Amino acid sequence: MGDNKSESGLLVYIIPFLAVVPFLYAMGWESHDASILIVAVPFMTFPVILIVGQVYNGEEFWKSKMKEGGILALGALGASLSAALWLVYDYVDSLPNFDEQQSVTQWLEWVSFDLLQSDYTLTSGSKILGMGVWIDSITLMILFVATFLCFLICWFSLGYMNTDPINEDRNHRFYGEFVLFALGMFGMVLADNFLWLFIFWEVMGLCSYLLIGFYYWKDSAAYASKKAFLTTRVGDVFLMIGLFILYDIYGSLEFSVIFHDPSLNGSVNSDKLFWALLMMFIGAVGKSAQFPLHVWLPDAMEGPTPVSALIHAATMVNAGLYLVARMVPFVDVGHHGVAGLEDLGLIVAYVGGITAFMAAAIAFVQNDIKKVLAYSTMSQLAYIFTGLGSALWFYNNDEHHAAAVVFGSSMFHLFNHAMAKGMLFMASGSVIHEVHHAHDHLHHGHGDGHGHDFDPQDMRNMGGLASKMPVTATAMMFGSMSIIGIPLIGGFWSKEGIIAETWLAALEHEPLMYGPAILVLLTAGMTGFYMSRMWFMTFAGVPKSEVVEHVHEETPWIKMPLVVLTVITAFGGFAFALLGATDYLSSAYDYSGHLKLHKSTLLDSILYKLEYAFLPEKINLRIVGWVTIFLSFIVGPILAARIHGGKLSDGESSTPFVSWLVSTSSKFGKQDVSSLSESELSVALQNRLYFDDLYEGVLARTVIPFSQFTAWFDRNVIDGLVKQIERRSVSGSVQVRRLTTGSARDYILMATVGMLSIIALLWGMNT
Amino acid sequence: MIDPSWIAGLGVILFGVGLIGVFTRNNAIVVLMCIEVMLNAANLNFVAGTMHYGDVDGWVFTSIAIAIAAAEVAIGLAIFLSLYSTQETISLDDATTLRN
Amino acid sequence: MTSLGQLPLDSDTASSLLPETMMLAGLIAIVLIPNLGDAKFRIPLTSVRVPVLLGGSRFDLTNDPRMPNRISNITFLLAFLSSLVLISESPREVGGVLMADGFSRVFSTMFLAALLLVSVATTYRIPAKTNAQIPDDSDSEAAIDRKISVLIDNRRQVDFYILLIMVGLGMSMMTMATNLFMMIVCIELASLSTYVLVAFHKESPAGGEAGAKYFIVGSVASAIGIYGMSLLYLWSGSLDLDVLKESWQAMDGVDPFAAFGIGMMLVAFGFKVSAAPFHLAAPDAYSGAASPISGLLATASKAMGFVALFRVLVIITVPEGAEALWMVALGIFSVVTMTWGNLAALTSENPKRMLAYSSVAHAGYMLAAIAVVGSGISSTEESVVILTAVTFHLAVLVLFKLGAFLVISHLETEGKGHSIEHLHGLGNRDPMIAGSMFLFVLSLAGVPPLSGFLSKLLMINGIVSTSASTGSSDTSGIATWAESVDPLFWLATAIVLNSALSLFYYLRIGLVMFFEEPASSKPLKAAPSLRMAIFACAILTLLCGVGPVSEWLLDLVNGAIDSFMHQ
Repeated sequence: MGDNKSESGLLVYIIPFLAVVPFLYAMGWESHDASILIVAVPFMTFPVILIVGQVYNGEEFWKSKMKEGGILALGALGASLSAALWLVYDYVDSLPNFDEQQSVTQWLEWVSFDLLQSDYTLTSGSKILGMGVWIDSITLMILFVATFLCFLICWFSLGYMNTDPINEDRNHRFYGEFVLFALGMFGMVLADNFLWLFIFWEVMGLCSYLLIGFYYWKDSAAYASKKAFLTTRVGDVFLMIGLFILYDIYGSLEFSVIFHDPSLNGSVNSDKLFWALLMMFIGAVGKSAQFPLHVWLPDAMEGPTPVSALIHAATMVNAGLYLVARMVPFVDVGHHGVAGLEDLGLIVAYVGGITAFMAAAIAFVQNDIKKVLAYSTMSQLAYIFTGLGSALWFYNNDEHHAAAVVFGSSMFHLFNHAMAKGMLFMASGSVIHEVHHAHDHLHHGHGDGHGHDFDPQDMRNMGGLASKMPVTATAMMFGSMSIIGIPLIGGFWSKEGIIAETWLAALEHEPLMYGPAILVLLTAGMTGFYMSRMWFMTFAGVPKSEVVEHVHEETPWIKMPLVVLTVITAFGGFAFALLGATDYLSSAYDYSGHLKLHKSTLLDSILYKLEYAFLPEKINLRIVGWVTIFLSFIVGPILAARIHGGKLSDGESSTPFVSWLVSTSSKFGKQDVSSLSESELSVALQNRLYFDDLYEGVLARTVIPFSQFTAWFDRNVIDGLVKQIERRSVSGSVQVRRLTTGSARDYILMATVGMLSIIALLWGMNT
Repeated sequence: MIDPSWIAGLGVILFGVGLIGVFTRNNAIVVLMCIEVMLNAANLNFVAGTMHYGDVDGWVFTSIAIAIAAAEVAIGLAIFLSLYSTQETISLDDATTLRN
Repeated sequence: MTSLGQLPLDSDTASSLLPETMMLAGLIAIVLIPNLGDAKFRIPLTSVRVPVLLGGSRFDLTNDPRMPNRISNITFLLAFLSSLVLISESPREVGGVLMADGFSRVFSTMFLAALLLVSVATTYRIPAKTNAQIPDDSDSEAAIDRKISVLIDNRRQVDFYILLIMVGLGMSMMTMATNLFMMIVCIELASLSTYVLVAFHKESPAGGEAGAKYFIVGSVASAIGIYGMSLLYLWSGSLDLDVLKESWQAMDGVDPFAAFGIGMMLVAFGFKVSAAPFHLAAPDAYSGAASPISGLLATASKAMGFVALFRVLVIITVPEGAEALWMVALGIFSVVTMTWGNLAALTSENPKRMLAYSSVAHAGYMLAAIAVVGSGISSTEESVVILTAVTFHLAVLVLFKLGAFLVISHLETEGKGHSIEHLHGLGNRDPMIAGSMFLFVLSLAGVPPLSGFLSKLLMINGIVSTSASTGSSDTSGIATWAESVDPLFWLATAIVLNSALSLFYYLRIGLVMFFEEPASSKPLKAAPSLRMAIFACAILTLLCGVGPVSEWLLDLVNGAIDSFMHQ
């Protein structure tokens, strides 16, 4: 498994971690009892990494054997992964029925937080802060995605972070925060109530801030981390308000209490619930970087690339989706849901559609490889939001079949996107790392001063890397194909469902749905363009700078995750889709079981799926499907190839697929678009449609004067008052102490005065 | 027999004398004497009370109070001696190294 | 009064005086044992020499300068434990003037705990001569012997512990006194001993001066108190507390004898609790005395004053459901006391004076609580809660106030401790001691979860719950409520404001200990028993703030006060 013979031996150290779960299994534990380990092991590991890292910073064993904590982090995440896999294995076939207790186990029965009453008795009986595990198909899927990707990305980091001299002696901070972040994600997915969900949500927010600002001495990184934190905080405030309203309605935040009967026998006011859910949705918008709270995500690319892969592609941004997916029971009128919440679905779908289109457009003109991926992430998450919006709409209109299909597709898209995007980020990290490495190597003789104008993330400096980095090129090709939605690969299966069902809603039920429907359809084509553009710019053609000619894939640890994820992206999506992943994922809210879309045999299931994808019964859906395929598969990539495609240098070759792709790309002719890039639209896109300027302008006019005023108030009024009190007290103190003259005669005199005044008070007050 | 109220009245005067003495006199020994005067004022009250109520308790109190006064004098003189041996004064206004 | 002449002869009565008996035995032992030697007495006209064991050249064992300290430690330990055991015994009257009950035992246990800590902490701590030094581990055998012989030379070790045991006897007896005169005699026994203890450093100018001032002011205060008591005797014809209580209740209007008498007794007890303006000698005495003695004055001696106040104010003079005579006076004096103490402490550069002033402030807090009991608006239950809080505060003060003085005492082993600069950088020199000191000042400031917080919280809670209910509940705004609320509520406000003020100087101690550079980075001199006492105080300060120990102590105090209020 190890990419480098000398370092694979380090994996010995993670064996104790991996042995925990088999040991517990042998001891007769149940998988849901062991599920606490998914959170507990990282929780115990992260302080160890931070403290030990601080104490033994720079020491040989810590550095070379422990990889500055990386091995410990890998072990902890391995333990979490193994516990999660056990849980998945146990429950994947036999989910507890919804109407039974789905909250299978309680970890913490915290009654000690009860309030101390005035009569010094404890109020007990009501569980306020207990936490348990909530298991359904969504939990299992996201838990698997999170633990699996965290493990792989940690593995990748061992190569990426520890070989970069700039991280020297700082990596323990990275790994500690990494593990804490992972803990937050796992906990959020497992939590069986909204309060714990929120707590872990905030843990992730904190770690996101810390990790984006990992290079805190760089102004841009410090700015980006602040921006990310504050923007998501805006959403979090709304989420909190939403939870307050929710608590007000149900008197509890437990899933098992709320979801049992969200309408409380029809007594819930749909307006109030609408506002609660809308507030929560705004929280999700902040976390998942959707319009209009999307501005933080591109800047967040200032963090180390594994962080981008982890937080901003694979896990944290999915938290918002997860939260929206948990809103289904509220609106599902087939199962005690509250009617009259269609608007929520529309809002979600519109936010998704707008973000998808806007982000894809901005991605057209980005030259930074990570920025392209960042916008692509926004756009793909927006797809899922659109799908969830449609699902909410369908559920609220009792269209169960369509709802289940689009909900399942959305969740499946989450899975495909997380896998593909995690890999794409890691692959881009591999590119950046090797280019940077080559650059350092090349300019070694010139000293460090020369290298600063060279940006290893700029795709205009790349080109022709297909032959230098065949593994990365292959991985990135499959990843891009999955994101684009090339038929039969990964994302195709899920994106198809989202687009088709959104159109279905528009065509047959709600004309307002045309908006998001058209937007996501156009976005499909645009995705084809910008993803292909990124790939061609990076890997096809001849090298555009001297540095790139010296690139080699040589860093240990990096290749394995790429290979694993390439396989999953290339074949996993296909396999899971044909096995009925969509239907499985929607089964979380299939209460009665009669909506089961599973076919009786595997073959039936496969045939059904293929038919649904390519030849749906409804003719209009068939048109939509083929238009999507046409746009994303034909139009986008060919346009990209015309602009950026090109043969490799003579004598260079890569893996067969990649070589074929590169040589094909050169056959579409060459188009010069330099005039187009000068256009106003292009400039606007390059400036991210001026959203940042707008926000900063608004902030500069409102928040900053206000904070200046409060600073003035604090300095002059409050501090002034305190200083005044201090001065007065000190002078009073000196005066009072002067009364202690040191002469016993004076003391006696004072005592006599005291005696007389006591007598005067006693006598005078009472006669 | 003298009326007990005259005895108590004498006590009031003695107490006043002692009280004025303790914060007007500077010499520690004189102050100590004034304290004795105040205690004796209390003793007179006890005696007067005994006479008035026909109860022996007051006599007991008086004798014990005298014992207390004697102990106080002994301790006081010892402490003043040590004060004098280090600061060479028993003037209360001069012994003011500890202040504020 | 029943007869003073009855002697407590039966064994039950004797067992209820076990702690006092032990201290008496210890007193005899501490006089005799260091004097045991090989002296012989020749019977006149014969050559028979009978060994009398007293005098002559002393035996090695009894000649050990640590012997008095050991005897005193054992005495106080046994007395403390027996007092603890007797806490839940049923009340028993002894000789007509003493009553051994839960209330008296709680306080005597508190006093004995303080004395035990002082006794343990003063091992090696009392130089016999100015040039006497404490034996050090690095000294040679001969040097240790020489130093020890200097220490033993004039028997002052014995004197010190004799006085300490006398203090213990006086305090322990006064808690049981049911007769005012008996109480005053016991207080005098303890006080006279403390005057000498304050002046114990007679070779230093500060010692004599501190003792002289404390003695003069204290004597004047007790003379005034005794005179006041004699007025009460004239008024009532008895000094028995029960008789006084009956006379008070039967009193028509306010008798001048009674009012003057009570007022004058307040002066005497006010001096003991160091209430303003009778506290002025206290800072001088604390800074001149050895720190453990200062700690004793600030805790046990103060608690003794409060026992007397409880007896005189709460038992005799609180009418049912009406305002007590002294309520306004006590309220005013409490506010003056706490403000004076805190203000003066604010700029004190001598940590001992600062602690003395802080002790004055704490007296103010507790007086405020007692004032509420006399307001007539508190139910008996609320009064019990408030007095429980005061007693609990006095009990835990033994831990953190005395602990703080013991830390200063540790600095005194190297001749320092009288300036805040000597605390600079203590965190570097000795983190454990500095940490304990920080704990003590935090607890003094009332920071959760330390015991000082719990006691202050209970006190403020008692005051507020008693007084806030008087504010009209149907008011539209804060302002009208504030007008209608009983003035006692503002006592709680005064306590809170004063606590905020006090944080400045308490935290300053922590600040200089951890953030200033020390003058020398030498570790402190070794003083194992002193350190042990400090750590015991620190641990108990924590334990009594939260958890089972604090609950146990609170229950104990609550039971004692409950029986006290219902007797």
